[in-house]
Amino acid sequence: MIDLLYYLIKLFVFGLTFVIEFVVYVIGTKSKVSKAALYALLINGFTWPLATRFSTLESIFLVEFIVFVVEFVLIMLMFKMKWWKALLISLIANTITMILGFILLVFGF
Amino acid sequence: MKIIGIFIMILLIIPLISADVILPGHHPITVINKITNIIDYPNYVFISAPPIENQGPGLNMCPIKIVEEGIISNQYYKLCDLSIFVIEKDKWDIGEAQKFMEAEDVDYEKTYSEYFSFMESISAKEVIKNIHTYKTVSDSSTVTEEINTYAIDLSKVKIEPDNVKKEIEYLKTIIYVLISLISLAIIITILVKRKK
Repeated sequence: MIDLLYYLIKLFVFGLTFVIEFVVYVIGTKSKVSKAALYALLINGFTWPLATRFSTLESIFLVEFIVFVVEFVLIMLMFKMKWWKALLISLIANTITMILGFILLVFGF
Repeated sequence: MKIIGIFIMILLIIPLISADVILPGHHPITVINKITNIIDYPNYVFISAPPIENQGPGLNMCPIKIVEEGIISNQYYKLCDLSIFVIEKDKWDIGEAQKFMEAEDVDYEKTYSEYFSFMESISAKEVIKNIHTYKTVSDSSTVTEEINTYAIDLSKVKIEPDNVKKEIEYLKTIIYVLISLISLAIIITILVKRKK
């Protein structure tokens, strides 16, 4: 039986992550809004489900770090950016979403 | 470079600060404890109750409950450490037991002292130890329910279940992995097409 409420909450959290990273991508890469939206959706569509499903209290820091590295590589390849710019964008995007993640965890998400 | 350094510091420090404040990443699962051969002991009453040597959180939170049809009640406070006792039916005193089935623990020490005396007076014999009705698992765990079964042997005190069956839910994990794989496939397609 699919727990509808569970998936709605997760969808909401994913939506927040997507919006934040999309805004950071638009500002950081100065690319088209549609392109940034598509790439933000794909990059987060790849990292977010795995990170959400497999992170635990013990491994959360490691998982966050892996997500940061993977997203850095994907941003660099997809937006054709210099490595340090991609690194900075990934760092800013993941720092904001991680802080948000901890706030949501406090509220039971 | 300084900005990058500051962000790396934030990334390193935040999880350490937050770990002490919140308890994320775990959730409770249903725990069912069963006795499989209770039918073999028609002349005995089986009860779940705190062990004699360990007072635990109190009899109001961990009261005596009768084991019916082999199912050990899981309606206990999560920190209760329980044992199963058998009592010969002719020694079982439901009237006196009622006091410990609805205990209020006004005087914790006195209630326990009376409980110990009561258990001794009815010759309650401990047959299972270390029963827990509450368990948490990591959020990434696919286990939704744990069923512990025990076969009673009056000459032994069991400290572990004879069999532990875990109900597992794979659907959530499959959905998450599938979404991730689809996204990765599209990313790779875009990158490959671009190279061509």
